[in-house]
Amino acid sequence: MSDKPKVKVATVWLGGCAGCHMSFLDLDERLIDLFKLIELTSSPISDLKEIPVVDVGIVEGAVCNEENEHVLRTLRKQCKVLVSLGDCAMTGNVPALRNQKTLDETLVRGYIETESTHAGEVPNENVPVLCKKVRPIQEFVKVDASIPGCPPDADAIWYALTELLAGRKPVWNPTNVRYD
Amino acid sequence: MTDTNTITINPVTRIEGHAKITIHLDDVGNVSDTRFHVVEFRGFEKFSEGRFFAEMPQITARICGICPVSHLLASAKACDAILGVDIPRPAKLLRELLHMGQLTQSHALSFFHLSAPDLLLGWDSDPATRNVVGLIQKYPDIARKGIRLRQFGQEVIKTTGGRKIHPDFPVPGGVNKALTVKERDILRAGLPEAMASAKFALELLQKYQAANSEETNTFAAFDSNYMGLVRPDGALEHYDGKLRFTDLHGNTIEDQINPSNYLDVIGEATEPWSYLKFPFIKAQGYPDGMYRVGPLARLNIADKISTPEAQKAFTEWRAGSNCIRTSSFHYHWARLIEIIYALERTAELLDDSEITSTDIIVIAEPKNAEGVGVIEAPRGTLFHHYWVDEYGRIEKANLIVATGHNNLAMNHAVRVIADKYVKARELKEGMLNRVEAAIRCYDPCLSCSTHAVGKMPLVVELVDPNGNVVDTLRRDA
Amino acid sequence: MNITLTIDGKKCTGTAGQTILEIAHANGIAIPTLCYMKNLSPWGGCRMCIVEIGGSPKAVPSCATPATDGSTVVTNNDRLTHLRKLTLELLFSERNHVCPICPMNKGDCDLQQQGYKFGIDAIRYPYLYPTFPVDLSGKFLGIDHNRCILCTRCVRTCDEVEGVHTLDIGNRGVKNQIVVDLNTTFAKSTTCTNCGACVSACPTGALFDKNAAFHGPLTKCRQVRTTCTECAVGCGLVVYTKENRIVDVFGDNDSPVNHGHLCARGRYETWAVQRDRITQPLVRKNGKLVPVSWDEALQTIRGETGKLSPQTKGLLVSGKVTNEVAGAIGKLKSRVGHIGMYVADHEASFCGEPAFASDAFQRINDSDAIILLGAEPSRLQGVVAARIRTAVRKRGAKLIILNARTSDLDAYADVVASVVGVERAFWNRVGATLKGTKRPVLLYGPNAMSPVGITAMEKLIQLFENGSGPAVIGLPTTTNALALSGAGVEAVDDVSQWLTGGALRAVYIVATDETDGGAKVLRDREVVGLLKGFNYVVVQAAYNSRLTELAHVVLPALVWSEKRGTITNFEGRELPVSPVLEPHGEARDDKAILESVFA
Repeated sequence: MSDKPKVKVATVWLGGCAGCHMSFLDLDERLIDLFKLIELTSSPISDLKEIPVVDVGIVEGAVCNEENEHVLRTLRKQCKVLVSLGDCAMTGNVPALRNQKTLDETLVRGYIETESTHAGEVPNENVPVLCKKVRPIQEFVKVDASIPGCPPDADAIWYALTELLAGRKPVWNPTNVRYD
Repeated sequence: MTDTNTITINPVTRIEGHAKITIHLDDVGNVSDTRFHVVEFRGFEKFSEGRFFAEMPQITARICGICPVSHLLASAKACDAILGVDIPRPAKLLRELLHMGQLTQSHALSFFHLSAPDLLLGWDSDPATRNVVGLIQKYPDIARKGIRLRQFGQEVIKTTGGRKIHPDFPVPGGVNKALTVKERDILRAGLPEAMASAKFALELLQKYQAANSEETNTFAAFDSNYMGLVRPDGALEHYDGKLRFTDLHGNTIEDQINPSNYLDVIGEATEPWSYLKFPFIKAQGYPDGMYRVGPLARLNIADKISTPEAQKAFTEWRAGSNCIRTSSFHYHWARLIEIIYALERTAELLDDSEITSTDIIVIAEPKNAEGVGVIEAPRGTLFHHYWVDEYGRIEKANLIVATGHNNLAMNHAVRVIADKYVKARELKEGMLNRVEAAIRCYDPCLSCSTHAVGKMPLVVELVDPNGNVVDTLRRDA
Repeated sequence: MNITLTIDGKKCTGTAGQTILEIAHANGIAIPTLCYMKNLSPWGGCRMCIVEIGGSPKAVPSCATPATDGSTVVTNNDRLTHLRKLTLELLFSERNHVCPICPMNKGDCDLQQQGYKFGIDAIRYPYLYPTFPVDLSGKFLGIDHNRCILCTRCVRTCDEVEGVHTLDIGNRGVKNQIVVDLNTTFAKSTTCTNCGACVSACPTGALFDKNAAFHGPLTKCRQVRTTCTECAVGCGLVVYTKENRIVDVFGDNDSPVNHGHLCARGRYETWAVQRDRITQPLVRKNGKLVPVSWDEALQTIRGETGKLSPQTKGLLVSGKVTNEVAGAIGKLKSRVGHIGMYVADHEASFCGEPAFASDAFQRINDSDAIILLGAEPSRLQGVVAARIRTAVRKRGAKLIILNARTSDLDAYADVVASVVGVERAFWNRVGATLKGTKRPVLLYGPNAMSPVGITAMEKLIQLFENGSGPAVIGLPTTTNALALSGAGVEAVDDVSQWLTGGALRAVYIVATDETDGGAKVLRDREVVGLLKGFNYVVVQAAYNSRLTELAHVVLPALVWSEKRGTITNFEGRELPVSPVLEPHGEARDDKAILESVFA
């Protein structure tokens, strides 16, 4: 039984689909081994709502609204190593497709024009302000490592995490990475 | 001028997506209003415009990483309608097989990873460990069963569709990968263990329900209408079928409605304080026309289940008569019955001689200017509606996503729980967890339902009308 | 002249005029590329193939730099790797390369592959997120400009191989965009031939085949080489299949006939079009055609025609059959009194006897003057038309078109006429155009056999000085009529005449996999009435049509993708037809069917 202190990890999901976190859960029984080495603190799948000081922060999703930016910057402050998980965080990906339309026309289509909507109005009370453009996270904070994919395979996540735990940056090549 | 106070739960965790809850108190500290705010928005209905319709399954899959298969299938069905084709029977079987894999993994995730911590570790247990990791640590065998049950569902998806999350398998006109005999046999081999875990989960839940029947029978229990797809004979159905609406007594309001005509029966309202719209039954107006979808609704509207083990469990659900389950807690029960059905249906599909056929796709040109695709996602009925030009370019898209139908109901559930558990000016952490748990019963997929993503942290503050913080509760204990 | 240079420490020889990249490739040294494509003029725009020469820090594009004798070249070091990574990061951030929703995302994209090779997992430049359109109006293809890297392989292919130059670059700077004609859509283009060469050339998912999207991916498909059987050119195909279905069809770069190029028919129309395939034998019962077993179908035929004498039986065969089928039909003379091959009205005899040159394509490629007489290669031999266009536009060849109907080639011609006689002024003009040309080629089609055509042919040959006559090459309008005439099958130019001239009581029509199901036989209205008057009509075809609908028995034939055999192209070259799929339904090989029926 190792006396080494567990590496503290916090994860967040911003503007994404949660697929990267689901791929993380696709580690299946490797999760049991992983949780012997890491301590999962705040995360969308845990009940801790505030990000504590951690060793590693993992970010899924692009910055779509002001809350996303706030959460991202908070995590960057609280962690030593920030890891970008998935294509949304790295490139903007599918959520960034809305950058080709204006925010106004996107909201109007969603809340007023859609054929099933009756007497709709664009929500604007007590909901986060949307950014004009969706942007990847490295445009806001320094990113220390990145795991591409939509989502990355569980094997790629395992490889990256084990490399990071060993103090190394993951190195990608045609046999272990995907962008799709 | 009213003296109101607001409690905010922000973010709601152990759900998919981003939400917060506000509880408004009146002068004497009774709950005057509750709101379930969904705080994400990405805009799929707009940025799909101009794209090639054959990309829509892959685009809409990114609405959600838990249930991408739902979107892939609804989207592919809408594309089939645009092509004006009937896909080959083996393709239908394969799509349904993918769907059963998804039901298995998504329901297993909802129960084991997201909700079981409350049931097994306790509603009031330490928030730092009240999660799947805590479950692994305290009940490793149960956790392992849950992980492996979800894994089996994911393996069905990967073996059938090529990949666990966002497979590009369903395409307009069919599917792009056949199932080999070897692959079929591998899946068959995993069924016994999966079924054992599913039955174990159901027994576990039923024990909990028996020991806590007062609470579970009344947990956010309220009357509502129900909607879902059923087969021509009224049996439970997830891939095809037609729409049925029943009222709070279980009487049929509308039956065998062609899902393509959904606009005749369903409308969506908006509220300024949530990015999620509020679907309602048009004939009853908003907000009276609230209805629920998903596992609880599906078992309330179905006449029977076509597979034996699930049918047995269903008979208990119906308590021998035509009992309608109204407690939000019973979503968990319905979910576990559906896993059993999904596994039995998986076995049936694997036994069909055409499941390994290579006749799985037809080539055709777009013939119709619009197409609607509807399926029962794990969380409820999912509608994809596309309009295209003659070249297959998306002109418009309208999506009504499963969890959205439950929006009014979730708001109502929060209200009912808050009324029961929130005591004036005393914030107990476990109380807030119960409010969140009401939401978790619905296993909402908020990325889906707003076709968008956003998230808020969960902090509870009790503030007086002047904005002074009277009491504070934080989740980091 | 030979030159020698050192590349990465290895001594490499090549010829003067070759680029560094060409010599490197020939010597087994790989250099990353994106905009380079063999057989196209170099562009040098992507800057992936950069190398350092002789210790100079300047990074030069090796695809566009001629090699110098005695030079020392380095193709790979830390600095070049760094620059290549920056290039890729600039490309990824310039437009909207959203891999997850692209049909090429599973290994079929060069940009993605380069990203993987260089381990790109962070883009250090701000994303531009421009707005670019998607044009889906191509008959079989679409273009998504969001995925374009402006490598111009499509532009150069369209210009230098298909010869129409439909594509080029419009706008300026970061708004540069590939445009169709003068910035219109594919559907409205007046020049695009739907040959799909641009899609084959495109290294990303910008240009894509609509009917192949998400059906593969290509990297996981079986690749089978075969020959196109749509016309007498006999282009080499590489067919990508998965689980017994065609995912896509491309030209075979190694084919000595077409070198990888195709026309719309071979590239798309044989597989990407929805057709009504006959899957089982059909026998007419109570006025309706019903599916039956092969045994029953064959027995029915024997029962109805067994007692008939050979003189009362006729067999009409499409010119599209293989050499083997042609040979088998030739052997049926003892059993069937009247055997004929049909192509189209008044074209069969031409197709059975055209002149051919064994190096016909080479002649066209080398020519400095092309005369088209009574032929329409744009419509019927697309790859020949491409060669004609490129000869005119790239090598300044003269073009004279004498044909009844107009075609797109008219715009490239020096002299065009739809009707000719013997007017001196006209032939003087033709003579002046041809004066000084040294390697003329005369391509002629069935219309050349008309009185007008023959007059023109005589006039043309008169124009050339002694001994310098043009290479005369026939362009048959069907695939393999040569094989049929070689097997002794007579040409039928007029079907109604053939049907009435004799004591025919039963007719057997081999339509094979004609995409019209053999309906061309019915073009003359009298034919329908004549056929209906026969006691017995049997049709052997792959697709339903008005012809199969009036038959008494229909026997399902294989299509090109299921056939095995050979055809002989207009160069006299024997080319293999290899099956790429299992037979569909109950369909059988043409020869096997004939042998069962006429056993």
